[in-house]
Amino acid sequence: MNSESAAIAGPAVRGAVAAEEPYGPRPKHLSVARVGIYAFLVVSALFFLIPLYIMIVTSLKGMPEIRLGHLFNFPGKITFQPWADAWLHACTGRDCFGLHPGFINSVKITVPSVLISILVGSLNGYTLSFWRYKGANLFFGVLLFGAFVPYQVVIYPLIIGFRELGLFSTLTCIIIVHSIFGMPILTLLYRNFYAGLPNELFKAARVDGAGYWKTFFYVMVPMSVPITIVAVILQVTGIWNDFLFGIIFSGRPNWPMTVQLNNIVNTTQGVREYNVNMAATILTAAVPLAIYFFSGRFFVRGIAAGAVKG
Amino acid sequence: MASVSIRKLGVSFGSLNVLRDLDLEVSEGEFIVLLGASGCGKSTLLNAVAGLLDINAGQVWIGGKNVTWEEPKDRGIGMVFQSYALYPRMTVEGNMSFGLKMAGTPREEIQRRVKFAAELLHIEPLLKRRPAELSGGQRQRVAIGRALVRDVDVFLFDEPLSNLDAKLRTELRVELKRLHQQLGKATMIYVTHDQIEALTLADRIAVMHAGVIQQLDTPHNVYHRPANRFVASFVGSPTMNFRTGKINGSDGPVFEAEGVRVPLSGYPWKNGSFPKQEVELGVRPEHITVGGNGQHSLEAKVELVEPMGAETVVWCEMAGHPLSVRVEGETEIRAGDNLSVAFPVERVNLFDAQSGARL
Repeated sequence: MNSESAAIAGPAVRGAVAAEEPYGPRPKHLSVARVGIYAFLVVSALFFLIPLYIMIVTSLKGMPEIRLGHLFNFPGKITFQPWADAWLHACTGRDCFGLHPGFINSVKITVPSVLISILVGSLNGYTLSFWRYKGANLFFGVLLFGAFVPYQVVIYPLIIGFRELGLFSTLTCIIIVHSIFGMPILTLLYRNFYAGLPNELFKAARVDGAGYWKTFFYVMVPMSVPITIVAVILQVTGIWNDFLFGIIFSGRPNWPMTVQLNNIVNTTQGVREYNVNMAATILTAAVPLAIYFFSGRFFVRGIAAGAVKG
Repeated sequence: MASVSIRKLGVSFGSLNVLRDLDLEVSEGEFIVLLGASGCGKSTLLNAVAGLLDINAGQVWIGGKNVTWEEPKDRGIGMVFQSYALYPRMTVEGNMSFGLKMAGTPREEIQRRVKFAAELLHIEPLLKRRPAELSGGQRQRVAIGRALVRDVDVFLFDEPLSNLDAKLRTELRVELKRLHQQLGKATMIYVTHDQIEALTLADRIAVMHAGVIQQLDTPHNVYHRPANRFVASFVGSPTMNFRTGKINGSDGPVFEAEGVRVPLSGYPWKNGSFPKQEVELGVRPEHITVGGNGQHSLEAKVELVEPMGAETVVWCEMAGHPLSVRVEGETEIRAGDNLSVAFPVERVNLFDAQSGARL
């Protein structure tokens, strides 16, 4: 029998003679180990979700029900009053407007800071990858070093600096601070992304007559979508969640949501309204949570983008 | 239309001299291929002509103009890269018109030129697509089109076919040659490590090694009259057979080595007369005659037979040295056979064993 006819007769022969012999797709078994792993993962997930569960049920209860102390119980009577209070009426210090001014402040701080830091970071990365000037490596090293400086160290000099410039305690001040502190990590991110692009692409643009800015805006920016999604997520969550810079640099009228949340939760007068506190906390965390939730997929894709060929 | 002239060019990366004192004259409408192994400086030379890297010495002239300090866009060149380097977020049309847009060309003119190039390269149906939706061959066509629309006189190709599979490479090679004929007066400088591309495409080949042009000549002369031992061994596959020996001149020059005796009367000596020194004899596999019973035939033992369809390469052993012989596709030769072979004097090459230069 030559090899060709053997190949044609193959399946029939196998079916008749050797049923146990491996043939076709490998059968899938659900092994004990796998069941164990899944059980462990499910239990872990539930465990880490407990605080969120408590927050949500507590925020939906009235104060009398909370005082009964049944932490895990589902609310007997669901009320959304704590959420309304947290947003509109909760007191931070003497003002009782709830969290919404803080939300607006946070938006006013986050949007320009994210835009500016990403623009500067991507320009840095582009320049360091393609326009290798003398001392570029040193500059990059210094920038990277900046990523590892504990920023508590530079807060005081910064305060003095901004005071001398007459910018201290303004919206501009906090935006500049966030932009500066976002730069090392964003530069690193973009530099590595651009370094992964073929250098010939840059050469092609040069032959086509595109200069520094045109190459950046027409060729590089359209390709940077995956890494920009990563940058946006990093920056939005980082800046939104920031407390320290917000309380120091923004000034009382511009205090971001996190600072106002702290003032609501840590109030020392009157009754502690746990349900309002819980609602306020969830509201403050909602923006980064939503961003993760909707763009987590792109985040992973963007992180992996460096390894994929265009 | 433009000639290219490279004068005393020097390029170094740090302390490493890649090119030094390199001269190359490319006349108008000529197709020059820079051939060499990787790291020989051929791509560096091309990038220097394009103005994409900083040179340390010398001048580059294009079309009678000294462009040594000009930006790439002002040199009148179009360039095609190995990795295609298409802008991934633009359509084919966008890719091809980008250079013209940057130069501020009017819309109608852009459309006219894109249409012209697309017709020439048979890519009209692809104009609205993105590079990711194209095959490798189509991408490289678009890249050629991008160079074409810029209406330049000098085209630079940096290993444009190296990323394609063998069949496409052959197709596009033919198309490139046709393109060069159609464009008439376009000067082309083409970098490759593929000798077949070099031999088929070039008007003249510049064989490069270690940053130096070893030979600049027509494909025929590069193949049949290699200027030195490097060129002889680099061009041709399987590579040329070499044997080191002596020239014995008692009655007419005769090459002698162990088991080999080749009379050399009629060899075109470069200096008119034959030297009595250690030499290397080189003969291409297809120039060895098999089966003759003449008085100058030599004995070889067949070790391996490689059928390649149109031809067969027979690997033999001759007095302890390997010898490859190319014969026709349907051959009766089998491993273990004894062959009688001969080296015809008009087909052998002799090189100085020390300097490697052709004798």
